[in-house]
Amino acid sequence: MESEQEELGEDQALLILYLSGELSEDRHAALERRLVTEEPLRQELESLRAAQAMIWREMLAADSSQPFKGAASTAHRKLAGMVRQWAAERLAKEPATPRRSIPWGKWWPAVAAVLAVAAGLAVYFYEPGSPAADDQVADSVERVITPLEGNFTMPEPAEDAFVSAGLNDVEAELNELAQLRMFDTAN
Amino acid sequence: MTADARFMQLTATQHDAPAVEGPADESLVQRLLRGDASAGDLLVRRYHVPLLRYLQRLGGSGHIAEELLQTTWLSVLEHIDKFDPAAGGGFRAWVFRIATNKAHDLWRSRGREKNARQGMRLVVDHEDVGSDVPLESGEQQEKLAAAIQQLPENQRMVLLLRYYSQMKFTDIARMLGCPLNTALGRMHKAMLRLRELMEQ
Repeated sequence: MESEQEELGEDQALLILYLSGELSEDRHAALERRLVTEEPLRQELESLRAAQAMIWREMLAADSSQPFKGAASTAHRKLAGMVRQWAAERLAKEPATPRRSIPWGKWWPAVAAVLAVAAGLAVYFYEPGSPAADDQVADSVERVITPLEGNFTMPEPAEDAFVSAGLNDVEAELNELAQLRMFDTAN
Repeated sequence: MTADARFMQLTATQHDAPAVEGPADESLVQRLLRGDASAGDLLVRRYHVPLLRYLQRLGGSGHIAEELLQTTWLSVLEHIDKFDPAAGGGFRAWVFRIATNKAHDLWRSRGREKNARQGMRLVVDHEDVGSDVPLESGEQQEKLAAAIQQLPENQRMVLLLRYYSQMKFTDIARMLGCPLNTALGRMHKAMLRLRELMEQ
């Protein structure tokens, strides 16, 4: 394991971040003000800048002198094939249309509890025999029966009068017969 | 723009593979998760050269770099459901972290970490013929490769991550699980040491 004594002083850390363009605007400006007046800090920055430029230049030159085949390389073709196969397998595993199922297993205790509470409240508030309850029952019965009454035909007033008139006639005839019988008995 | 930022821009345009423009990495990951192979292909192309170069410089071998690249992508596909776009550094940091871990795993499997690098160099001597990753050519390139390999592992890793992934130091520190100051310290030492080795 390499030495972990890699902690930097604050200024050195600032210089690295300055070179990489990662300082905030305020800190960048503050460091630039210091660089104008602090010669050792400026020298250290120039030393780091030169080292970094040399390293990057060498690495760029080395990479440029050994171009990759890029997408045409065997390694790339292998990888691309591997990814395509993975994607195809994943697509095959996915259902055609995602179905949303209701998680009854999760919710049924809650639904059962709500129903139980509702039933309990109904029993608790219903008082048999009380006028209010009876009225409620009567209202309920009426609400149920009233629509059924429409199935029956009620006698019209004219028909009622006709029947009454008929009965009157029969009664008159019976009276007349009774008078005749009394007349016959008297004679 | 700082000199470093200008240089990074230059390297990005001069890398040996064309820059793969297009949708953001996170959008490509979402498409890949839905089974879109073209999104996966774009991601592979986008990171192929930087990852391969990084692994090559980290391990010193073209063949091993290719092997590590393949195991890196296998791991990416295996764990892509767990990828968190909100985590620092995004997909770039995630894929480079996986690549770094794969390199560590290989070193561990080959024995003690200090000896692993030497072991890799021996493998390079025997196996690099025929690899897609070209050998260093020229005295200066050989010197650079040797100098990079002489850096302590932690310093080499920060230097190479900075160069090939172009991540910010804050993201590199988060990725490596160390304080920012430690990552900066490693970079500072790596630069000075590398210059010294190159000037010898």
